[in-house]
Amino acid sequence: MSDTKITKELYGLYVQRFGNCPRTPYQAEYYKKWLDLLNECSSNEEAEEKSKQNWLYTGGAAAVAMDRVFANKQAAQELGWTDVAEYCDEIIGKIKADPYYTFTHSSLWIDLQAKKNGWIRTIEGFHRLFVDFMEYDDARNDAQRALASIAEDVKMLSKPSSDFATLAAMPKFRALIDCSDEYYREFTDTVSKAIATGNLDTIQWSAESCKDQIDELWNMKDSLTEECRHWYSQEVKKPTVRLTPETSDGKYKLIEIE
Amino acid sequence: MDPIIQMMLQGYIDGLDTLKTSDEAILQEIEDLKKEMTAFGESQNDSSTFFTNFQNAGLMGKYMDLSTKVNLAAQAAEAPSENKQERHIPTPSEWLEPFRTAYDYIKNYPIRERGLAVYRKLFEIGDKHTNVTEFLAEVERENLLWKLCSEDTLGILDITLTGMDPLYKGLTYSTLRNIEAWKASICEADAYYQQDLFAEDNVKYPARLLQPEHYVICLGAHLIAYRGPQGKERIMEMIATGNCPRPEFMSKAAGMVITKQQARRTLDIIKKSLGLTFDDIISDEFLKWKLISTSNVYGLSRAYIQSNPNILDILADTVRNEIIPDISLVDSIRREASLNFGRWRMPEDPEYKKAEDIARQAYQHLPYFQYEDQLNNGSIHVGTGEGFDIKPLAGTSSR
Repeated sequence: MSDTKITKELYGLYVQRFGNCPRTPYQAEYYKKWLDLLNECSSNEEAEEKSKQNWLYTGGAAAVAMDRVFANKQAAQELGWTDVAEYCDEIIGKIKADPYYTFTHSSLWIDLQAKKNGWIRTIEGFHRLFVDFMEYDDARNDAQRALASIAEDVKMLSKPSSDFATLAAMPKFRALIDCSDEYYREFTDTVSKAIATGNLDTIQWSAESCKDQIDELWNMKDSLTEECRHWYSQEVKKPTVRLTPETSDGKYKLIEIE
Repeated sequence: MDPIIQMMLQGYIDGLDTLKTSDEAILQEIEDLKKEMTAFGESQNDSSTFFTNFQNAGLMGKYMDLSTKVNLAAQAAEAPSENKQERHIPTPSEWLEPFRTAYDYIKNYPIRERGLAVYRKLFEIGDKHTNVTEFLAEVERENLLWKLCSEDTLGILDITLTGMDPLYKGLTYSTLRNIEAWKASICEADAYYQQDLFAEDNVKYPARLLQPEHYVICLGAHLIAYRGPQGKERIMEMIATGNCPRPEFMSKAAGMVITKQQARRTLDIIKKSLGLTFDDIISDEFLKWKLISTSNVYGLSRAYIQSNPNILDILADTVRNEIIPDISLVDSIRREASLNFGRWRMPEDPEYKKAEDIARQAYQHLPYFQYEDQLNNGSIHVGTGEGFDIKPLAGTSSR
């Protein structure tokens, strides 16, 4: 097979693969143009010389980079990350204008990730606020700790808004929290109050209401001696190791440690 | 300047000092950036937020761009002039050289067979050809360059999964979604797309899965405080031994009252927020174990150590007969003697080591642990079992 023929076959395969993938229009276009050029020329060398007259000669790496950014853009659009999608368009425009842009501005990948992180951190932060609420709500005895955590975690909110109440009203954020609507309202009301006032109610746990029970136990302790001795004489159980099953529908296996 | 910040900053300044260029304009840019970084470092007083602020201020970007600029300029200066006679078209064997280097590294880990098989296929095709274009066409027909990356990654993800507790969905979720993303991808850009698409879910679903777990851990903490060695068991021990200092006795009794109230509240919250009853929790094979304090002893939550093997029965009995009906403290102590649960103790160090050995024996055949051993460059080490016997307890599954 001649060099030109096999090169055409190779580039045809590239066109086919990148053309079949909705994420790689720039590489598909790049190899299609090469294929067209090869079809116009009688040798690889002639095609290479002609390619120097346009973007084909330097465009391979740029096409790869543009597809990578384009893939990020498509995902951003599907996720509703509008600023990320716009930033991707901006980068693609810059690479089109300068094929070496990704080499001279390698920090663009960090900037792109930072923009994406804004959205991801907001989701993390919103969920952390729910964990803060859960921890506080369980015994409602440590308001200061809850307030400190809420003050810290609310800083993570930025996309699409840094306002907790605005985010809490969005279906996307409601879907993050697995609880009844009633409990979700308690969560949003409590966190909103904490943010607005810097205060949370606490429960003063006390055994005072059961003082009679405690006194009764103290007074009757001697009559419970035999029962307690019987219990106390029982062997102390040995610790066990719990082994996980092989599959997600299996059961744990307990093994006593001798 | 904060000494920790100064140390972190110095790394970047040293990096800028290593950039070699004779271009006066670039040299000026380097000096300007060093000054800007120093001024930034002086404006910061919290080393924990320094790196994020450094990035957000765009200094990391400037540092990278400047480094790239200098390196590209150096490469351009060293590049041979464009001359047809000097051009050398590589043979398939030469083209494959970097892949052989990668293969030589990966073959140290035979467990990564999935990726290694693709390398061998690539070399086999390379051996068949003398013309690099013909070689590349066959590689492309087999889609081998993509498979080199995807098969090895999928292989590692599959291996990682075997080190995890399969019931622990909050843990396995991200790896399973990652596997899904790589399987759905047909090229590098597609992999970026698929992974970005899962970025929110990778936070969202584990977080949702952790919620019931969190409540159950809280409930378990209250129950253990009520029933365990620091609660009811301590009172029973004091009565049994006749050593009952009143302040401690009254304090432990008050503790039982309070922790019972707290457990009742947590049960209400679980019902209100998730619609789950205690029976729902205790019938969930994964969730029920979150009631007790256990430590992972092997792999990525592949085995746990815990105290009394009957502990779940004890806690379930406590909830059903003491917490929900809210019986008196005297009745609580009296009924305990008729039960055969016995005393419990918390796991201690010697048991921890033995638990690890039992787990090692049970799981040494799993790829994750074989890979771990291969990464450690050691032979697979197996617990001897010396000094303890392995006896599955009645009612638990056996392999």
